[in-house]
Amino acid sequence: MIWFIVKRLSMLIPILFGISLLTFLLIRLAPGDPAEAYLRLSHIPPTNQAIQEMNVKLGLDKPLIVQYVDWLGKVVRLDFGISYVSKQPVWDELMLYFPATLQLTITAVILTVCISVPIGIFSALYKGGMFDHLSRILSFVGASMPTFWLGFLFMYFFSIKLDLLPVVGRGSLAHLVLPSLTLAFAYISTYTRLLRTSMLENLHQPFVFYARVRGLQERVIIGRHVLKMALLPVVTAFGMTIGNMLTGAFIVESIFAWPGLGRFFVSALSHRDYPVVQSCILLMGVIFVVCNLLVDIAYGLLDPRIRWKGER
Amino acid sequence: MTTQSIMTVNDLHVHVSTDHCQVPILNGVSFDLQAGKVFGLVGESGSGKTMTCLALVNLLPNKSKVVRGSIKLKNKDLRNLSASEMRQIRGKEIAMIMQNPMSAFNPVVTIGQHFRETLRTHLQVTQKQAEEMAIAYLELMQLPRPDLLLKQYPFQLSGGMLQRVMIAIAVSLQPSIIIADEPTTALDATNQLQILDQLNMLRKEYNTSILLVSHDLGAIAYLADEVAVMNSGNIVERAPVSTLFNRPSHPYTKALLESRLSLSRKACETLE
Repeated sequence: MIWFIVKRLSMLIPILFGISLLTFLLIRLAPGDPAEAYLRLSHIPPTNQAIQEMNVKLGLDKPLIVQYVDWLGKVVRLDFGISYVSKQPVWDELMLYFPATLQLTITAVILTVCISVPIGIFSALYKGGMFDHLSRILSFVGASMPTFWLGFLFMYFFSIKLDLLPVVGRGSLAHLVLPSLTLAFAYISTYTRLLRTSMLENLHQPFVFYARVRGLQERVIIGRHVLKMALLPVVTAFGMTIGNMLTGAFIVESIFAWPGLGRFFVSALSHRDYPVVQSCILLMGVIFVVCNLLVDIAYGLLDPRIRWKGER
Repeated sequence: MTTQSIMTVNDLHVHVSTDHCQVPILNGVSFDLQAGKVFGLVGESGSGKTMTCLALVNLLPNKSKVVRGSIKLKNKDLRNLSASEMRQIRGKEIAMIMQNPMSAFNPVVTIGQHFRETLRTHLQVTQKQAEEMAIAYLELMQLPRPDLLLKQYPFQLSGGMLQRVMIAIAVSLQPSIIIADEPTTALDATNQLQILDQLNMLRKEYNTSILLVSHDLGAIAYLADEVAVMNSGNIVERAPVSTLFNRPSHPYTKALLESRLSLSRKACETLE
């Protein structure tokens, strides 16, 4: 198992390198001149001479490769540069907004797991029953409703009509309910269906019959044998979901005025704030990769066939 | 020597319901299983051998059910038992060895877990005691390094080894009856003989009754004391093994015996 983790970790290095390179190049492909943007933000008239001076000052006159190496060298020391807009270190700004996004995402992940796993199991066990039909309708609605619309609906009913929860902002636990539920809703539908299908596939496997032949209790058969197999594809999909949720959080953040990374990122993008945009993309990329690594490890723990591959 | 009857199956009828009607699968199957004896059940595919086995442990597939007849285990009619009483009999009183050992085990659960959960379902034992019992029974089946084996996963073992593990699990609860549904079909020839020898050893040691289901007439001839021939849901002939093989009386039995592959038959065909 340790060997398996080491192998996965060593694969991380080239991936992270690739992400940093792509991040760096993509932003330079975007239209707009950062030096000019910087001058405008600082209320300096963007004359040709001022732009050239600013290019030299920001290091934008050097060849791309030199710029990249300079940037990378700083990034590995966690120095993400100074924001063009606020003139504050980018790292400090990230650490100001990121916890809010993380809190929202983690709550949504917990909600997704706690709601979709039991619904998935029961709708598979009572396939074709009342509960299964209800969960099917719920999933259909959840999967087809766009996040922004759902967010406003929730806000309208729970905050304005029923006055149960705060409308926008961050603070108490009550503030967290609607944004995280909005974010989790589509994923709850997806995972309910995924787990249901996966359970149904495994309910008629020969190993289930053999478990019955040995006289095992039904709850042991479902809980230990069927669920363990059924969770494998769910875990695989989950790796991608956590990353997607972080980006999905950007939309939810703007609906509920949640002071997270999303709003920070969008405003940086419109101001051509290169250091901030680069750092945000890089951070997202790293989180994506780390989530996938964690899922790989979880998969290895769950499925011994993966763990032993190439080791025998 | 007096033989003790363990299970009596009388006039067993099983129907499968389709959208339109009820299709009979078993039409009055009767036989009895005796302690320490091997009862062979032969017949072509679809003749109802496996359905008979499934009916005995009350694990018939959906839409099929026993409509008439009785299954008596030591004078207790299994048809009158509740689902939970029946569950307690499965594994403990009637054990079953499945046809394909490679797919019978859960691929993500260790051999040890399979073994321990079976023991702990039916006996009041700790994990430690269950582990010791498992090692003892794996040793009885002449499997090497049982302690290591328990930590392994099914895909790390060969089919022959898994079949032996399955037999070890089956005998560990010392059931009165072991149903072996095609126990050697999925194995290669050398393993087949070993498995049959081990089954033979076990029925002598524990006085277990074995219901051996097979379309392999060789396996039946090797192990069975009495044989029943099944054809489309009926037992067409029932006789001691030597009588059946030497003087078959029913035409279907004769046809079945003639359908065996043999060297002489190949020689005949080549000459033609």
